[in-house]
Amino acid sequence: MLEVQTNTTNSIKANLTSEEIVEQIREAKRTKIKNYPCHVVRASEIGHPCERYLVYSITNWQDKSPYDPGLQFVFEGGNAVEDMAINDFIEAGFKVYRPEPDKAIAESRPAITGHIDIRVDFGTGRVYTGEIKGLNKYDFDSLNCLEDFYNSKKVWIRKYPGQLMTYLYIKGEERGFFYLKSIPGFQPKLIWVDLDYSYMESLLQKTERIEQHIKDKTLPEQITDYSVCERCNFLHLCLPEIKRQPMEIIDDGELEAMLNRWSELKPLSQEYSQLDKDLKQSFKGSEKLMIGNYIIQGKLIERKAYIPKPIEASSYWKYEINKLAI
Amino acid sequence: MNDVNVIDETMPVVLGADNLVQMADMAEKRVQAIKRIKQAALSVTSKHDWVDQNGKPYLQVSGSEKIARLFGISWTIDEPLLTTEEDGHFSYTYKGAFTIGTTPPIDFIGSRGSKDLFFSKSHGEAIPPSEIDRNDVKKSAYTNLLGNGITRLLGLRNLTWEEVEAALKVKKEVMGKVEYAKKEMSEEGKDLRKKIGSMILEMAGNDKDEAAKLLLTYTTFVDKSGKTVKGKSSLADVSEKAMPVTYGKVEKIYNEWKAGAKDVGSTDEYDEFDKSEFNK
Repeated sequence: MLEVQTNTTNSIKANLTSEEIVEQIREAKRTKIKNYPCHVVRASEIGHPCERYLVYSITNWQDKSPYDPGLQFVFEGGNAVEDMAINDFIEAGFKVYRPEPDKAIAESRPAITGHIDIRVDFGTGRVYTGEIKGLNKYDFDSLNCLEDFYNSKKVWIRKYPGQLMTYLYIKGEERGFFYLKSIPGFQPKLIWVDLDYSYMESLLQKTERIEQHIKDKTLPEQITDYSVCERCNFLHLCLPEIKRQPMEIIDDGELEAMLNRWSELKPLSQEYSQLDKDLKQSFKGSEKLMIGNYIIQGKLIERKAYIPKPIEASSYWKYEINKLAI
Repeated sequence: MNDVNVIDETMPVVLGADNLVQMADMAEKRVQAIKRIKQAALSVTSKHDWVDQNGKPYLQVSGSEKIARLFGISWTIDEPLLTTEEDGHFSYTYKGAFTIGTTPPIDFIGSRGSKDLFFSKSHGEAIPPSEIDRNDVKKSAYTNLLGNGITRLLGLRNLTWEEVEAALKVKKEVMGKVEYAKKEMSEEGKDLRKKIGSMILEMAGNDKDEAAKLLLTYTTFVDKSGKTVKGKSSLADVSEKAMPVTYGKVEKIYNEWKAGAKDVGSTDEYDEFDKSEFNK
């Protein structure tokens, strides 16, 4: 039998429990988590909403909090998906280029660094720059055009257009694409992206401001969106003031009684809906029926066609009620 | 009609029955409120937010953050204070003011130092402070502050595994584990440790406090840069690697002591000890 183990530096104890084996695997991932020096803004980061974060990424790269080993698995999964994606294009017969570190990127001014995932000739002789992303099913389904990226609640997804457009700008190209693959399922989706010059201009100005701050040894103002801050790896340096709306604690017997009744009826309501649906499905096509003490009468209803009115943009409150287990 | 004063001996004399009922109601409400806060807090955490730390549930900062979001906890945090000790060990302390809504802010601190086992030991071996990453200690102090501020503000300290398991409907075995386990010392190491202990205790006249002082003295040394490195006052803190060196040093002193020599030892600290203790 072929031995494929290559790391023999650690002596492997016999009779490890499953938890110990997994912990050893996690530990191995942990050792791979390192901060690397960063001297210029990265294309993958330039779309980040906080300029202070981008300055810290360069001036204090060594202070960045290491991410969780769990995320290391995700990153490695993403790399594997990238290889799968490239294979997709090759198998389909397209001419694929895997760019080496790009001279145009190295010489870009203001300086932005990055690494292009793929360049593909789809048979027209024109080569397009592409950015590959592996995404969970929810994100994969919800991203269908460039606007969806900009409107995402997730900061890292909002950064994707900036990354691709930076590559397009540096390469002097008008059009590129995102190639998305779902995880799990690994289904493909291709979204064309046209270079938005005004957005790109804002990114270049942002890069210049960052360069100036680094030169002057100053920091941009803190942002006030704590949903961004709470995931920031420089939170312990930045120390933003956190202001949150407090939870309201209401002492209202009537509302509480209604909630108690709601909680009691909820399982019955679900059961009723299911039974109602099942019974009516069983009677389908019958006009008159008697079952035990029940008389059932049916009527065929003709539904008139109508054109639905477009729904106007508005906002509404969505509530989720959960009962505490006391 | 004769008024009869009936004294209920089960009731505190300073309180009437009405006051007691009111107090009991308030106490009951308070207990219920605490229970509800606990349950609400637990309900937003997941098994990934908890680790077993030496048998007790420890809420990681990811969980504290979720709870802070639910209750709407706000805070401001000052720049951290760095304290460096003579032996090179250091600690970071963050101070922050935490509040919910209009309640007055309450100050909490979060502190972590290079002496914490998490940083100072690796596989049972001591790591010198110069090799401990300051940023790791600093970040840890910051998350310690958040954990302290959020959980103390809501009274969420000292939760039991039973409470966590019941709320999350998972067993603690599936959650992470942090153990500051020390690597088992070899038989040779243990033997040397035993011998050092006997010699020191004998020199200290069987006084354990005195023996601890002696050990501290013998293990203190001056490094190549001329800086004094503080020693250990407990043999449990002497690593296996350092055990033979310590043994050699102690054995030499012991033999000289047995031979009745006064001027023993080589470090300034030992000379100081010699003058103060032996020449009384």
